[in-house]
Amino acid sequence: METIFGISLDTYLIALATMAVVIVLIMAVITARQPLLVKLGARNFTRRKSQTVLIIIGLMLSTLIVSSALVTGDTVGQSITNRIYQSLGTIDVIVDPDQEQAAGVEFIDESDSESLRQALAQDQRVDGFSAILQIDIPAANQGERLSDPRAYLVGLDVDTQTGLEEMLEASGGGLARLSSLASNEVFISERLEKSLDLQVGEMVTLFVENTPYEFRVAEIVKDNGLTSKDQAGPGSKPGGGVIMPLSRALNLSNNEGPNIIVISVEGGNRNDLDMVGAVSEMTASKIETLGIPLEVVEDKKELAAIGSLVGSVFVAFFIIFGLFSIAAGLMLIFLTFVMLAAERRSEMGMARAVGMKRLHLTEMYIAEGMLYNVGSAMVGAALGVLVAWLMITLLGFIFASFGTQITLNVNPRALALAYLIGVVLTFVTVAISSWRAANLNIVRAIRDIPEPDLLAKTSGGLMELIRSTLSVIWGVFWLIPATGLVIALVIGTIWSLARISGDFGGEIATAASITVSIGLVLLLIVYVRKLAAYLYNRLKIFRLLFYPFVGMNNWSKAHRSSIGWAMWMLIFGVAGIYVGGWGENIGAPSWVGPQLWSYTGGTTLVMFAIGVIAVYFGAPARISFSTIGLLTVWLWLLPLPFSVIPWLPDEANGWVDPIDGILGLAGWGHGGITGDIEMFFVSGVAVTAASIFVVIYNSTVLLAPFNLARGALGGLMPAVRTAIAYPLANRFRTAMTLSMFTLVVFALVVMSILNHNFSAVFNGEEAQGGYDVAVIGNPANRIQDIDSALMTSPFMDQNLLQDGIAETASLRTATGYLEGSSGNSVATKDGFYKVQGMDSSFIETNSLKLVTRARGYANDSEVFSALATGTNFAIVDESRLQSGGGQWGPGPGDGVFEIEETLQGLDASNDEMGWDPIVFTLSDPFSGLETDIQIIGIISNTATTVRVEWSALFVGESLVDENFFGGYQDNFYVISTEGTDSIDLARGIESALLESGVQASSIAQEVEESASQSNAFSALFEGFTALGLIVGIAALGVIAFRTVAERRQQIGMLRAIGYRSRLIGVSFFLESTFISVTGILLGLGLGYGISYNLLTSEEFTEAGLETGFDVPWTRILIFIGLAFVTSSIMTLIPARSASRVPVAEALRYNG
Amino acid sequence: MTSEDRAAIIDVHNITKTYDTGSVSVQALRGVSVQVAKGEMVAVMGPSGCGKTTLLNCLSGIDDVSGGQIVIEGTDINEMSDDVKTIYRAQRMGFIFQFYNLLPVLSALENVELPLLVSGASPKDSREQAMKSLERVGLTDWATHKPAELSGGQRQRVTIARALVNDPAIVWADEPTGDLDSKTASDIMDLMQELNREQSQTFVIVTHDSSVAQRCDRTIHMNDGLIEREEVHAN
Repeated sequence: METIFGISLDTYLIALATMAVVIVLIMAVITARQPLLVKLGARNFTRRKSQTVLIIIGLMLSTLIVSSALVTGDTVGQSITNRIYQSLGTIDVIVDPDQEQAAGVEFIDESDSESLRQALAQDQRVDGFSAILQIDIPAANQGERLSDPRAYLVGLDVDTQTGLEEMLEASGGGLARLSSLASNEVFISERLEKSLDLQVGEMVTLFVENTPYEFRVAEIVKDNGLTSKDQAGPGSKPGGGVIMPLSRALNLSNNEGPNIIVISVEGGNRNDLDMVGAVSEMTASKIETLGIPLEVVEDKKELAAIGSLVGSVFVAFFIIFGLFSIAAGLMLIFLTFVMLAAERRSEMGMARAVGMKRLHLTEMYIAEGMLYNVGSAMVGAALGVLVAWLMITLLGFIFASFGTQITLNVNPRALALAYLIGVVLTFVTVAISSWRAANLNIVRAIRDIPEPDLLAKTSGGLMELIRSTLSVIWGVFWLIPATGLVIALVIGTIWSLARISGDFGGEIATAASITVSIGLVLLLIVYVRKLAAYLYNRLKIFRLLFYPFVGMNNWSKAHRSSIGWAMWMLIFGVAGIYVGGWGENIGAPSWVGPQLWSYTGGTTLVMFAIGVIAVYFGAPARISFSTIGLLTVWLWLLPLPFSVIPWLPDEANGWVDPIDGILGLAGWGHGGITGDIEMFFVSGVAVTAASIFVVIYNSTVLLAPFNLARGALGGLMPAVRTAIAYPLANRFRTAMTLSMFTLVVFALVVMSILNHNFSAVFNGEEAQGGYDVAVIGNPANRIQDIDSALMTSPFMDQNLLQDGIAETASLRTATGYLEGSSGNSVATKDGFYKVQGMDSSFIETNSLKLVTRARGYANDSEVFSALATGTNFAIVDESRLQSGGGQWGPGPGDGVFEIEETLQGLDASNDEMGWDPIVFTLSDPFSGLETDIQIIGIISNTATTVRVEWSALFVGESLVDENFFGGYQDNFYVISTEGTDSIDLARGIESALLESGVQASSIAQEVEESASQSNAFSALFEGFTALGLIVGIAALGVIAFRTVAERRQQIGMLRAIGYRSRLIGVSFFLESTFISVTGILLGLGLGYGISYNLLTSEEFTEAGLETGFDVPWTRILIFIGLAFVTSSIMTLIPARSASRVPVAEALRYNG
Repeated sequence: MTSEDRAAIIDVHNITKTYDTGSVSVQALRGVSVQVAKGEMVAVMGPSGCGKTTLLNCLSGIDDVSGGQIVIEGTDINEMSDDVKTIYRAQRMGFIFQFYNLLPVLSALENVELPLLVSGASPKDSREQAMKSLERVGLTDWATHKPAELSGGQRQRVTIARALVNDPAIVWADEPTGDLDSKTASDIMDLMQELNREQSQTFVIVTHDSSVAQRCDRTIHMNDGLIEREEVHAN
């Protein structure tokens, strides 16, 4: 794995290492200049051990998540790459017949092959070249009555050069032995040896055109890309190979020539990929020069990159799912410092009063934070490996079914990266929270007077609003040139260093130079500032010159307030809405517009800004923020399943986007907006923030039932009173902790519900298409009629035949070329595609679901009736449509035909009655026979997940018979009778038709296997997200511990006036429980709402995901229950210690 | 009226209290014996560290003694379990602290009703009683305000209201005027004297302020963990 989100890991590493060195330098300067402050900050690290442990647990989570994601990604990438290397062996470039040029010809002309061989012969880098034949052919061990329908006939050119020889070596021999094989001898690969239980010297039977041919096994060779099949469909294992010289294989199979050329580049298995890439390009260019109908289809460099790509995709997924936990972790860091600052507020006020600067306090907190930081990042990176190991164990089961073994691969670079990310992220958060902590009012701090509520600042009038808005922009404006100046200085210093040294000599030297440059620039800034201050105070001319700036700065500081920020939130929010919704009009970059994240994010910003502005102009804070919070949640949860605004037009109740709805009434609505997986995080953050505003500002109302139930609470009432009062009084702290819980529970609930419902759709009955057993025919031994084949087979269990089979149906497969008509109302792209000819039974018995139908077809059965009666109708699977927002499944590939429209677009392209049938000319590339067809329905991809051969153009069987000469393969589908085991039936059919080499499988079993794989993935991602709950739990623990310390004196007073020790413990416990329960309920409610809307949204239902809406309550309740119990245990410890505080000692306590 | 004229509500015999910090052992009370009559207002004075607050803590049952006997209303509190002592405090005692020790997150009214709630009174009765108590100290209009919104004097009045809300037999006050200016301190003393007279509640006040002590019935002077002398005032 080399990249994440498209950026090289080395780039991340260098950038982070540079930042880490800068952090170390900052710490070194602080330690050297202010050792006492460092000592003061560090004392708490060892003084309160249990809290230190909790803080470290909370802080390490970001590192743990990144570390486990990277290690898992590395492991998966490495395992896939290994598999690719193992499979390809020394094969580096693969050449196939060019489908477009050869018009469907599947064989390579001997002269073409020879021309290419000659063209490459002079290239010293090429050390192997072989034209080979690889086709499916059934094999059997007649003696043992064992068969393998997945066997693979391999015909090898014995002139193959040395570079490919090692791929044939097993117990010795190789190519030399292959060329000297007797006419009745073959090599077999290890996989076939196992499946047929064959030994050297025994006989293997091959079935070609239903005729058995016997061969003696002369040698057993290793499985690899040359000797056996490497990939198989879902639910099947790849087959083993039967290897013989090419000429003999061609005679046996009646094929005209080889169907593949493999080329080896010097250097063996793991050779220089750049050289492979160069040879690949050179081969392609030679093919072009020679003008032969061949094409380079794959090379080792590209395939090896796939492993890396898959690894990167895993990392990206895990990091996106881990974002909730990372966000919660950062909030915990912030909260921890807010609490530390609150506890030491008066101490800090006094320190400031006696001359300590704000910077000193910040430095003190940074010193303390860095101690936690260094420890937690180290623990996090190490534990990340443990978590990765657990995930890989689970992934191992999934990958094993695809034939890939994965083993833990811990790359030191991944660990270093995770550690550095942890250190840098934590440092930034610590620095911000330290600055906030140090930013206190001395008098308020000393007298312990609460700071004013920033969000509740009342009106200073319109002028003050304008002044504040301007002052904020001055602050921001000041930052821009300042940042620019720093960057320019850094670049200038680096350039100077480069000039002095001549060359940096590698990435480490570059990083070191950048670090030195940043250090020098920071020093320069410090001294320039000092000098400027000195000159400003001493020299009138300086004062005169800079007075406007200094004056403006002072003015800006005096007027900067929440209302100014709110105004800018409003401005940026409106800009976000416009760019996100109408970005196309102004040519906005595609990452910002039209994009849902900027549209919905902008809307949310505007909402909050309106709240602050309303309060500024005198609206009660509670009403304003509650209304705004509710409106924001409402916006995100639209459409609601009930009418909420009866006075708006009827369509309003169906609005998902009221802004667009209202503007749309005037014809100003926006076009389509795209959104991706990032919306999961954006929606989570937005609804969590909005709902927490509502809860915090209405907690008294929400808690009214407790007050009403005072009588019922009896002796617990005093505990409830204090338990409720504290979280309500500490709004910021409560909101932060609530956010952590809510965010993570929200993510878990959404993921569980979506996974559960998607799994139900893609792995439910619909995926079976109405059949129980699939019988895939062998092109080399075609069966035209499965019923008679089974009836005449002496090996068919007659009971099974009579009582087990209810219906059979068949599909006849061909490859066709589709050319769209110019009269179509939607654009199409011409190309090849698989054609399935349905017999009348298939048309009648299948239960394939259509996601949309052309005009005139009211339901699926009308479409199938048309297919049964007319020869020019067709339906096609959904993958031929373009993917759009909300549509899932693979998109159209290259070189194949496609409909250049999304499902939503197709539906919207015409009136409500349906779209115009899409007209194509379908031709057979071999015969050139053509016919016009109309596509009248689109098959849901829920049915093509398991049976991949259903990703095709479905027409009537007669069309395939007439225009494609019956196609090249027959597939059969069996509906079993009630009570018949589909696995037994599949086994019986495969055994009966052994000589034909059919592959029969239970579709129900395949669906089940697919479901278990998908469930395992779900469990993996949910488990990973659930790691975030640890942050929430640790946060509750930190708060509870700190609270006990903070309220020691109050505990003493409560005990003095009659609170029994148990009551104190209960009060603390209830207080934490209030937060965890509220967070859990909020996350549950919001997650439920968002999931409901997603799954019942038009985009999803139109895409065929009519899932209904089912909630996996057991799974959700288990993790919620676990979270609650664990957090309760976590808070019981400090609650117990609170109850044991000695009264007199507590009363004397002064912090 | 002197203590001799009335029955003793507090009867203390030779109590000692030693703080053991592991490395250092400090004898805070070295054999104190004292009686306080019902309805009496007694001041305890002495230099810092002489054991005044320790004596108050021990007498009120919020700290244990190392030796000796404390009989309150005829019951030896050393023989009470922690829970029983706590309930007794809730029902029969009131506390006033120098730094008010109000819960910052509760309103004045809610602070005052806490002792009633822990005593098992119904919420409705608690609220009514608390309002009456606040009325007695002249803070009805400030009932819904939180401590941070009150002045020092007002906070101390809330503390007094809280101390008296359960109609206690004894009110313990540790430096009740220590954090107040002289005018406010005088007002607070007026209030305590008035309540003492009206309700006949026993007040034990630890103070540094001789003017506070002068307004009590009797002053106990302590030094080095012992009662040095007693002084009766003719108020």
